[in-house]
Amino acid sequence: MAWGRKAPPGRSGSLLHSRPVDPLAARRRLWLALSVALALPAAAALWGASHPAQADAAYALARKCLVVDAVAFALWGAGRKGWLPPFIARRLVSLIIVLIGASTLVFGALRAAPGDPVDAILGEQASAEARQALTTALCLDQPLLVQYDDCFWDTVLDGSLGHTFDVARQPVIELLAAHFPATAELALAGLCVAACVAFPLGLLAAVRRGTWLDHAGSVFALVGVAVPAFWLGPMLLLAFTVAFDVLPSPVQTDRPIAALLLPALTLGTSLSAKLTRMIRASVLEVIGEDHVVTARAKGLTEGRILVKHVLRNALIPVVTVMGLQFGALLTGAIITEKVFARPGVGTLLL
Amino acid sequence: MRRFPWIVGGGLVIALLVIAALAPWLAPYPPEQLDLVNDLAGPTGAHWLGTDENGADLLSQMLFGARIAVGVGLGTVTLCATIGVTLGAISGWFGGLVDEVMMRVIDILMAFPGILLAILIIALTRSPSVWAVIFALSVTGWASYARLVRGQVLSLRGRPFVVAAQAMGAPSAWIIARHLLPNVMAPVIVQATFGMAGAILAEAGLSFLGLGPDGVPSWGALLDQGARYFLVSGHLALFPGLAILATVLGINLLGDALRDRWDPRTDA
Repeated sequence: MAWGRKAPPGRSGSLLHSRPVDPLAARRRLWLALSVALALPAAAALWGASHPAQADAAYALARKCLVVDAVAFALWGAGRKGWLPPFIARRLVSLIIVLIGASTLVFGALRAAPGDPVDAILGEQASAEARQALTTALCLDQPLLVQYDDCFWDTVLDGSLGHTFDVARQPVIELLAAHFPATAELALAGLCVAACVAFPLGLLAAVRRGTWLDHAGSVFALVGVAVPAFWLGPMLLLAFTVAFDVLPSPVQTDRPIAALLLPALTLGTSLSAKLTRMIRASVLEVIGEDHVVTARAKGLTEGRILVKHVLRNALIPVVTVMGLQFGALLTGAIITEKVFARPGVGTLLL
Repeated sequence: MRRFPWIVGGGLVIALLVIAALAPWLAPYPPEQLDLVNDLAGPTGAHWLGTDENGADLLSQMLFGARIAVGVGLGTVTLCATIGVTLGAISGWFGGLVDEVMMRVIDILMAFPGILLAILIIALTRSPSVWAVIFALSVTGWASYARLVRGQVLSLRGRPFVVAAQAMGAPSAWIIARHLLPNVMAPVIVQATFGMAGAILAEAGLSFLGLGPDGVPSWGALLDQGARYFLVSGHLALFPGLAILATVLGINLLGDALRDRWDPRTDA
């Protein structure tokens, strides 16, 4: 096959070092950032000048853009001047960009999605007046720019994140505050389960390489990634609550820790499979290095070598991945919450 | 032992493709045919995997469900890979402003939990089609392909064969298509394999949440139905789950095997 033979890595293979070293690069990037930063409010203002009906929203949007620009450049400058650690300043600026971009993405994707939110909320049998009222309430009769500014950003900026559409009209932020702790608790528990399973298993698989333990670890890593949480959940429930009756049903509130165990196991399995594999690979890499041979030559016990010399080095990539995967756990909690009928953001979302 | 992933992974994937292609001929009953006398029956000679609460044959529904899984998996991967490879190659080759903007867009997409956006998009669609699900899963899915291809293209840019092509006056499009893309295809195919497993899992998850393609027997939807009756007849939830498990396992094994073959550096 033509692409079967892969070219050997070139001069700059890694993403991190891919940017050419160029003394002018920093200045060029600043100009680039400046022009993008000014182009957006300018475009909004121009749009407002040419569309009188939407002028208010367009000018408001331009003002918001300028405020964001000012904040971003202040952070950037603070980083350059050394008032903030440069790394943190850079991260904060990109955080702003990502947050605004992601919310714009949501706005755009929801507007582009086929389907009518009024239909989705009221159903097809709703009266014309009700539909009209909801359309007005959702600003759907307004031009896109007005929707984006008045109905999207203003609700974000006034801190309520919008209201629910039922009679209560609760601010979304209150609902989130009420439901988020349960989700965070589940995700944290899932992370703990994943770590508790993956660390011993990955370590044993690496140390006893080629034995049945290693093979068992590999099988677990393969199956664990492939098993859908919404299937594992009911099956665990069937086994531990119905058939053997060793764990309480997850809705039982008098034993909260025990009730959390099955959901956490369900949520954590996929991550623990990934981690097992990573830990095994990482430990195997470190275990062959010179400093481990030296430690062994010094006559240290195997346990001490593993904990102090191997694990410490092997854990660096693993901990990074664990941190990154926590976000995925929060998303995965949506499904787990449905399976176990737990209160949480997932239940709220659905 | 080295051939194990090839045999198991390849076997499972081929079986899945055959089942999806031949579902109407393999299925013992039409998936919508109801046998109201035998509802919630366990596995019997007449219904190998039992029947659901309306008496529809589970095996037939699952065989047709394979079509949804394969369709959504292949569709999502094709769409994501096409967009991602094209944009990634352009971004890596031209660099500069294009690259800068593209990378920020990709950062934003990668920071966003894709399944959440898919849920939002589908929740707005009154009766989502298979295409709507593919679209919803692809909105954020292409970003990882673009980032992968960009990195590969960057590492190939300065290589002699690319410089030679440039020196001969080849246009950028020609260099990308003839010299760069063939060299980045191996990791893309590996990623596409894992992406397909991910898409099938995501589709099943959406269907389980009641947000899958409407009116077709998707595995996730079958599992959702089955989970409601899992105290009376556990097989309804058991078999669709096993089907998803076997499919994802097979595809992942195949991906591992492909990666080991083409990219020995990332041996895990």
